[in-house]
Amino acid sequence: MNLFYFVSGVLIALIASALIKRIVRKSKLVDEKKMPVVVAAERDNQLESLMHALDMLATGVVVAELATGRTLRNKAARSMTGVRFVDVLVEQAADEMIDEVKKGFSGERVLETVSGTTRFFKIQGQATSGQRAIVTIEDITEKSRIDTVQTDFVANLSHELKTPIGAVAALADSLNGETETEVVGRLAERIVTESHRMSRIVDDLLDLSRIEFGGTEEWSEFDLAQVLVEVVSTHQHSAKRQGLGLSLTGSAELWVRGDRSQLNSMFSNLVDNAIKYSESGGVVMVEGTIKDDEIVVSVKDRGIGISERDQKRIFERFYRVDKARSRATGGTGLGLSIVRHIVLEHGGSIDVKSEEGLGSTFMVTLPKFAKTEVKQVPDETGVMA
Amino acid sequence: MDEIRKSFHNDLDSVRSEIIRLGASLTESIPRATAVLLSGDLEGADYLVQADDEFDGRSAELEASCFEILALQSPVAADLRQIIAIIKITGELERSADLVVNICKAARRIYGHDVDPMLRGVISKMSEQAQNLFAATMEAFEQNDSAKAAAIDDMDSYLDSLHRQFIQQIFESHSRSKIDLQVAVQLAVVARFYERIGDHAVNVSEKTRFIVSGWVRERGGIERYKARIGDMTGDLPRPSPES
Repeated sequence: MNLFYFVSGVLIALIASALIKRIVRKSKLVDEKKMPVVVAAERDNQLESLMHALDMLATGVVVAELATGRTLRNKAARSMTGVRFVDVLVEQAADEMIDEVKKGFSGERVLETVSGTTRFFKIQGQATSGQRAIVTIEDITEKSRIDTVQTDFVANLSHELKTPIGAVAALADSLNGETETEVVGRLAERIVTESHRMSRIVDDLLDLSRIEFGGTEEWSEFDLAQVLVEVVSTHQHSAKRQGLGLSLTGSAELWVRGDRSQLNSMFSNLVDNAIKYSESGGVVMVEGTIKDDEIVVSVKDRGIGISERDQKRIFERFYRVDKARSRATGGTGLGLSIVRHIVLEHGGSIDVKSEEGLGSTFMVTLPKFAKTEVKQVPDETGVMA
Repeated sequence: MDEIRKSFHNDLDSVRSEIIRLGASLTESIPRATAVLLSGDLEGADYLVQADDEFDGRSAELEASCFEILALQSPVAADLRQIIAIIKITGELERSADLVVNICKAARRIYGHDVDPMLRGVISKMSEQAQNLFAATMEAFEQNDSAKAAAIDDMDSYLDSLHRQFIQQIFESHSRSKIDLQVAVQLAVVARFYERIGDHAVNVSEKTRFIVSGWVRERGGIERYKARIGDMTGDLPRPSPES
């Protein structure tokens, strides 16, 4: 992948270099005063089309005359550099690269900026004939994000599977030489636990794959409010055991079209997480409403919350905010990834709002099933379960 | 003559552009320091502490350039105000960068201790607000926008209130045994660093107002002092050569 970026960078630099050479050759060879009007017009046209071509590139191109310090920037470079916010830093990095080229060096660097959102820029510089430097600026934020997700996924997958496999191997080894019945029983029990954990991970991965490539043949129209009632009832016991309140409010009927069992498992996952990450005495609130012809279900807790940095990555496979805590609560690290895929599969979206120490709210938006007659009135207490 | 003025304005543009770059580097370093603090990233802390030397060097060079302009070009009126303001802003930025370094040093001291999520949340908010303040104040400087510069003081009030909220939260977390006393003290100091960064941003915005209109903040302390000693001439008393 890196080789691809490098090669594309070099190609862009070469194209830009060739274009500049042509511009310079034209401008040098022809004496302005003696130049016939037709030739001058042709040169202007060519210059314009070359600049237009440079402007079409998504990569920023800066051409600097080393002797005079004058620079020529294409449209992308003009939009990436400037005197405000992150633009100042990109401009500074481009200037530094021009200085490097002036000293006879060429090369590349990656600039990471964190003001607002984190962004990555690849800045490459090289000298061209005629005492010029060409600097290219490429916004590689999205590429970097994908690279990180891929690398983390492979590392996490091997780690998640290797841990129970290693445990099973070590436990079986101990079991091999053990004669005491009580110890044998304990070791066997641990082997079963670890095997189940491994099996859950594989099941979740298969689920994820099925959802990603799944069709809509299992779909039907149903009232999502009923599903929410089922989910909340199922979790009442675990919430009570943890000293938490669990409530459901909202519209009486929420008709959707989709896979009922998938949506059930998705909301179970969200409620389960809210309970896991709440402290005793708190409350988990589930609310299903209709807004602007869409169904919005929110699951709100007053738990430990999620930092802004983690919020961006929690829907990735195997991403864990607090590794120690996640393992202690028995998660596979795939829950929210499955949730996200189910929502997307149903044409919806999911959003999280969270503040550390104050709690989190997961909001799922799903398209409302068209023929539904919706009663927006909650019951007397406003609570359905 | 024209050539001399051209060179002067080039020099002025160059120091303005460098102060904007310094401001951007500082704005960038605030969230980095917060990430270092909240994630216990000791390597990142070292990097930011060392980067401050470069910042100090650039500040010193910028000041030297301003002194050179003052000495060789004798600017007047708005140009003079601009150079004086840039010299003062450089000091504010340099001091703010030191506070960022202090946050990193505090990260080393609390390394290995858990921080109550509630406190982490408020730290993130303070960091974000301090960053917003500096981004806005540098934007006001770049645009010579005195109205925007005047609004920075109001923005700082929110950071001050977050600071008070944070101190209150530290007491609560400590009383619930959520944090050690040592960590509580360090965090209280860290909160003070963010609050001071906000104050420096306000100072920078005041310099922008000075550039645009010559405005200077009323200094209540000086007025009180004059009233106390009954000197209505406005001259401050100076020690006599004999004393």
